[in-house]
Amino acid sequence: MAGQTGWQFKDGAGPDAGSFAPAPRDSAELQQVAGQPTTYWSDAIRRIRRNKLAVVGFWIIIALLVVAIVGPMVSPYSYEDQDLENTFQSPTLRHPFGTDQLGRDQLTRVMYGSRISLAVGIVCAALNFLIGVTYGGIAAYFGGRVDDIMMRIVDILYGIPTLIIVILLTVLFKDRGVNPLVNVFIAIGLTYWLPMARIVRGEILSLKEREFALAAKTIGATNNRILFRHLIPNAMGPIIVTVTLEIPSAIFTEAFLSYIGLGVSAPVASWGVLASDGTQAIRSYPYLVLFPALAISLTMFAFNFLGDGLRDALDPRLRQ
Amino acid sequence: MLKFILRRVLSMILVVLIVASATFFMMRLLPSGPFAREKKLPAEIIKNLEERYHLDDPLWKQYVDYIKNLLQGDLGPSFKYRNRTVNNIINDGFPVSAALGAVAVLLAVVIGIPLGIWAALRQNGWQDNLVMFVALLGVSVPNFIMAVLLMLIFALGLHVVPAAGWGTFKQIILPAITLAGYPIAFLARLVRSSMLEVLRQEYITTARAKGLSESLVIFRHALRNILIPVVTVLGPLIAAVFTGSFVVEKIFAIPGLGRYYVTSINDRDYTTILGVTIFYSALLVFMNFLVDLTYAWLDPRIRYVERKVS
Amino acid sequence: MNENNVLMHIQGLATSFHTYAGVVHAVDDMTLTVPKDSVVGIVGESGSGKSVTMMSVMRLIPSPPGRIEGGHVWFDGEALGMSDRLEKDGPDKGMVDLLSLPAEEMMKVRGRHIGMIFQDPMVSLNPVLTIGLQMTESMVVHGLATKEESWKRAVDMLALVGIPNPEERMRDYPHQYSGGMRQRVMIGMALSCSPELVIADEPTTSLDVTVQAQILELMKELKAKFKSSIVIISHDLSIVAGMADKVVVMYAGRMLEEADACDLYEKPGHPYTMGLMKSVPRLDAERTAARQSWRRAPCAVFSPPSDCAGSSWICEGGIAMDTILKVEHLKKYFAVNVGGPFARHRASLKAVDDVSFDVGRGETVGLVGETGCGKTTVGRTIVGLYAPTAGSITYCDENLCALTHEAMRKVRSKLQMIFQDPYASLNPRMTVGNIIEEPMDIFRIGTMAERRERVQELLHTVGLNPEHANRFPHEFSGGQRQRIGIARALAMSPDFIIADEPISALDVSIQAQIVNMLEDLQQNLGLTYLFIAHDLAMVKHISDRVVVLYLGKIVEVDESKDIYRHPLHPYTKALLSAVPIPDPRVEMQRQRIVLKGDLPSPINPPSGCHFRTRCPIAQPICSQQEPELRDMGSGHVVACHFVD
Repeated sequence: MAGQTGWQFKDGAGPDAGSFAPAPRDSAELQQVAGQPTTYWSDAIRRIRRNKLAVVGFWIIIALLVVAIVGPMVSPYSYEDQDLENTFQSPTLRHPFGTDQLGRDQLTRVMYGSRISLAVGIVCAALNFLIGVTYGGIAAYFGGRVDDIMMRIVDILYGIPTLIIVILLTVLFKDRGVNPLVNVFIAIGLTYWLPMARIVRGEILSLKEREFALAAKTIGATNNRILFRHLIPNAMGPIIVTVTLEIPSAIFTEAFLSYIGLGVSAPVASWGVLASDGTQAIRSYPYLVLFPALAISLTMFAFNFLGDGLRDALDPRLRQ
Repeated sequence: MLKFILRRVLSMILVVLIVASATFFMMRLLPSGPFAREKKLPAEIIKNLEERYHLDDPLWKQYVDYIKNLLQGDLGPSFKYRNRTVNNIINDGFPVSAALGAVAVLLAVVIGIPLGIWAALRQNGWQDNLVMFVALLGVSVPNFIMAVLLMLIFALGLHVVPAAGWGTFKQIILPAITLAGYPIAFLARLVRSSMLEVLRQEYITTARAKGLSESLVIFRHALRNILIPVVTVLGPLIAAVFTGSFVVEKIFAIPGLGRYYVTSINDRDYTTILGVTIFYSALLVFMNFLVDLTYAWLDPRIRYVERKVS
Repeated sequence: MNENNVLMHIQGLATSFHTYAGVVHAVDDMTLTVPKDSVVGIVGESGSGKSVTMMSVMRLIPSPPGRIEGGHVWFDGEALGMSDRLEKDGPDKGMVDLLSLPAEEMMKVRGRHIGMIFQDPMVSLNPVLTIGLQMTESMVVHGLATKEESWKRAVDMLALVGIPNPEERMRDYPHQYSGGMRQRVMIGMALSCSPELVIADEPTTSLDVTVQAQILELMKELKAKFKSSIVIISHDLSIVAGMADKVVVMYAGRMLEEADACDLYEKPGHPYTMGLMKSVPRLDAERTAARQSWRRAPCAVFSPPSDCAGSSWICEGGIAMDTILKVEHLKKYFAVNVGGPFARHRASLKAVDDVSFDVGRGETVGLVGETGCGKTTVGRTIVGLYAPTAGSITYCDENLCALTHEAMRKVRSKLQMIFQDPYASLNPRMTVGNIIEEPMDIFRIGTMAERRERVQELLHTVGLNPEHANRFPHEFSGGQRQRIGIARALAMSPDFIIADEPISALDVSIQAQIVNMLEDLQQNLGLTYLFIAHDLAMVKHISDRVVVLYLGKIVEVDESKDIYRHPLHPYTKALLSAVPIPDPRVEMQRQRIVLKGDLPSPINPPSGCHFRTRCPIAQPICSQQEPELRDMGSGHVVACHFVD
């Protein structure tokens, strides 16, 4: 255990085999490789498979995707068909989730809502990824003055609650007549990249001082090559974790915005709209709020389970 | 130290001014005038209103006036409630929100931290797994869903507490729990993982090698070290509590600032949106400042440290 | 009471770790006796189980995953005062088995009867508690003193371990102490309850060599004063040589050999011990490998001929001394923030301050000094990782500092670097083949197939199996990874290699392999080395000339065979005398020059001669006037006012 603090054992805990001076150039031991032939990623997949919650989360997400794509297609109702003779029906076989104040089938509307939620989650996470990785990567790689200024801007934005920025942006775009869904994409996509930028910057800053990055420089690698071949691939673990965890927060924000009347609005059915409508009638028809509430919660669980598992598997240092 | 505080105060003022300016111009960017949403007012009246609120001045003058007033603490009149100023609204609403928020943060600290320590000490035991599972649920359920579910169960189902309103002790229970849910879960998870990390440190082994009892090791040697990461997240956490109160106050019909804020957004009451946004940012910037001071007090290294260069 | 004068007797100890990869038997049937008032050294390489044995004695094995599977740790019952738990008869009569004590009883043993000193003082003190609290608490917990008394005793103890102004420093936090000071505090802490046994786990491994000498001296002194037994764990045979009465060699969780210290060093019994001894370079031995001739290796066929490679350097017999690298008045300052977030101001850290030297073709120049002396910065500035603040670097008659970015990239192919940490210097996401191929890829050399072939060839050159080119770095051991790093440096057929502490992260037996390989490569490929290290014995072994740095300045330069015999600068003398020699007889006769204090901060170096604050012969002139580097003849250069 010399030369090391702590108690971690590397694979093959014994001392390096081999004989002593004079050192052999081709001794048999040197030809042996200690570890399993695994890569970082196969190792991560193995670890995440052992995390039951993460696996459950993964399958829930797959199921949600299937429901979102197939559900509204096979449903006999459409999300906007009104049936004024059958309003406020309790859950039955014909309408498993009941119907709303206009007689619309609640199950179809919840399934349709999953399309919106997942779309918001994926598009916003992609936007955050693009902006955050570029911003953080540039700040860290160039360092010095550039880094100071770019990070000061991030600090200022951090000082304002993100939700308020999103609300203000949504109001702005909504009143300018932007399509509500696009509006949500823009508002969330433009604001939620801050954590990504910080994480990427932190990772790159520490990675670029690591000896392998210096080694790349000494063999004449260009800046671009160092950034894209050496630094970003090594920061991929935390980046993936952050993306996975930004999806549920985008979904939450969309639902929140729709809930307070700023996101998409009727007849388009987003889970936030459904929950908001349901809350109006919570005393008489509690099932109307229950199903969209459960749908949102389930989706958030699934992504958080997966994100948590990914974090443990990919990057034990990153914690919160 | 004094220099540091001075510099921070200046930068705080700067941040608030930036937020104020950005929000001001954003509001002015909106296509419809502030009175357009009201049912077709005669042109005459609109003109009167615009004169009254100086909206007919050039934009730069409006801005300079607004900032001047802001520096004197005057946030201007509300466009919606003709007889009230934004200051009135904040005076009415903020104490309620602050009380609710304080209870929630207190709950979070008092429940979340011990829960996290307890889970860490039983790492991978069933207690740990249970706490962490519940905490993961806690960070996953959106606050407005939590509010609705709690209301469904405890107010409308079991009738143990009133569903809404403000003023009695029973009325504060549900909204406080709703608001505290996320921070409790978040803190429990954070404290657990930092505790596990701290327990792996060499200085903990040193403490044990000196023959200290386990409780001394935990409370004297580990606790202060785990409070350091906890303090750093308190700023964002307080922000989450306050923004969380937007919907919670609405759902539980609590006359707090968050509810006014949401209402003013739906009414496009620009001066109120603007004023309350500035107020919130100022509040949070100030909270972050307090957090930094606490941080320095907890971590002696921050006070003197020289950055190392090898 | 036991008759055998035994303080502790470890019998059949077995400890294992249950990891997901399987069970690791870290200690397996270990047996060891520690007599009263003695020093026992345990030596062995990483993973031999020496630390785990002692952590098992303390019962501080982290569990899970660790578990003590069996055995006994008998400890003198009289010392413990546990009359009710004594072994009734048998050879361990009158002793108490620590492993069978209830947890609360064991707590009373830790700190009170067995004190412990850990390897890294930077992480083994709690950063948020004052030194005073940490010094006093074990006395208070074990009921030896009240708070006030223990405070007084702690102040005395700090004075004893050599902390100036102990009264004031009790209120300081660990980060306000230097590394050496912290280790003194650790020692004081371990001794505060006057334990019968002190376990020192690699107590000097993370310290610089001059500080290491201080700590070892201190431990010897205190040993005499406190009459405690010491178990000293180390991977370094020479440290143990100077301290221990008895030495135990461990390998793979077992004791291989146990012997009286002098006997062991003179006639090691086990072949492993013999090997271990041989792989340690010794200061008092002559350099053996005489390199008389070399030739260009045939494997460099498709690399472009380097513009500067004159034909004159291919020579047989004798060293051709045309200069390949010339460093003149090199300065490198870093801007740093001083004073933390509350009172920040910019200062400049003078990492390298006016350094000049040159390296002849085919030569090996050793660059030595302690942490923070600027040796790594010199290396990195030469290869262009840092831009110099002032001065010039001439490589093959080309001024590197004046080159454009593009031109510099080209030169880099001839000027390569081997890094210290074989774990950090290879990109974990790339295969070994890609890592070695990358430089050729960057300079678009050869076709893909040619490059592949070259990779195979290089792997073979460094003694690795060419079939492993598609493996990832983490599958290799430390020594193997360092070979991969060397193969990468060789890919462009360089002329000049800067080796920055290439072996200090490796076990001793592996160090020898790597150094021998570097020497072989030098002979076969005609390389020139700048060998940066803090290990003077190793530098002596490999270098032709040695450059000694202190706080960013050169203090002495000489041929390596001469500098070890006749060092002139007091710092060089101290450095050399601080290096322990793995032979107890030699160690006991040596006169040590032990430097006081730690390296001053390079942000604010002492005026005049930088070394004067620690110099045993400092005079007033040293603080006023900076000594010039003076030529003492035959290439021996020294910067000191008092050398004639």
